[in-house]
Amino acid sequence: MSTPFKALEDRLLRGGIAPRHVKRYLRELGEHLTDITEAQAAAGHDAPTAAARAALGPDEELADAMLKRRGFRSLCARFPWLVFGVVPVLALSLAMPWHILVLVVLKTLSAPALFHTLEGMVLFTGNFILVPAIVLLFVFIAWRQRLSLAWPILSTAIILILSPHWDNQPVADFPPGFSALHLLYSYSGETIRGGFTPLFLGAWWQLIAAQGAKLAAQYLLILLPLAWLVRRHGKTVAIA
Amino acid sequence: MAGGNSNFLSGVPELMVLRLLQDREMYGYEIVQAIQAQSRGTLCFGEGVVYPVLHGLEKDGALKSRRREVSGRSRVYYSLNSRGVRRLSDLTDTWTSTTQAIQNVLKGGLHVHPV
Repeated sequence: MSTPFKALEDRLLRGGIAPRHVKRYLRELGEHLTDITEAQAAAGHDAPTAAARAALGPDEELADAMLKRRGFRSLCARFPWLVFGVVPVLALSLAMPWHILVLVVLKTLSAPALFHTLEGMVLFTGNFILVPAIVLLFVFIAWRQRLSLAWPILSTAIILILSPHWDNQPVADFPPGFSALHLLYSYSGETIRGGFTPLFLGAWWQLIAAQGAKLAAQYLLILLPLAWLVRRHGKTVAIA
Repeated sequence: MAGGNSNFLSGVPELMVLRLLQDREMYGYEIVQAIQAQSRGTLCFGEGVVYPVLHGLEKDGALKSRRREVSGRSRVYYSLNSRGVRRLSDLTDTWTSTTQAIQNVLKGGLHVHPV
């Protein structure tokens, strides 16, 4: 975004205005500024750019004109508890079957060498790509709309608690007291035995003992986007 | 205030924008220049505040916009649609009756005696 409006952009986003409305507003302000600058230059003004920026109006006035219109507020600003508290649960439950379906279709269409076995790919992407990608999405939304850190922390916590750990052990091999939802999928003679175990369902300490390194890598990936946001937020506060 | 005109003053920018766009489609800078010229500089405001008004009217379905390339410059042109015409008519009626009421008060002459 153009520099003259950086502070205004931040102010509008923090005020809850949807990014698409902010983008459009700033773009038209930029075009208007060019028009005024050209007119000031044509009139022989000494400092046309500064005069043009003054004519456009102070940031406060420009921001207030937008902020007082509630219709421009984003869904995240109006219902953050819904976006960061409820949608992560829906996203997780919908993403799991879809990710298997996508991999099956990909395998069927192209059968790349990457897919050594469908089961291996499902377990790998389920553990290390799918869930971190969902967290990344919510962190990105929070960053883009300059929301309070509390919201992405909430969504990450929910995802951490509910996130499945995929494994292909037979049920009998799981530690005693271990709860697991099991998925059996058979396609073209290939069977996916994905036991995915939300931590809250099982004896999580036993899972950690059995799968410590894999689990640590999985949860590190989940926490990375949030750590980035916290660091960035700290820098912004320090600058402010 | 009775009569539904308590938000009258906040509707003034909308009224002016709709009236200007009734004649032809215009872009933001043109609209601001027209308001300043026709009000002979009486109305002073940050020129950028016209955009939330335009975007709000478009969101309400009173205006439509399109991006046009003119003389090498890309600009968003706004024009009135049928809902905008009705809104202009309503705002004009409200403005006329309110200014008439204010004129009557300013002129005085009608004394109401308390009972």
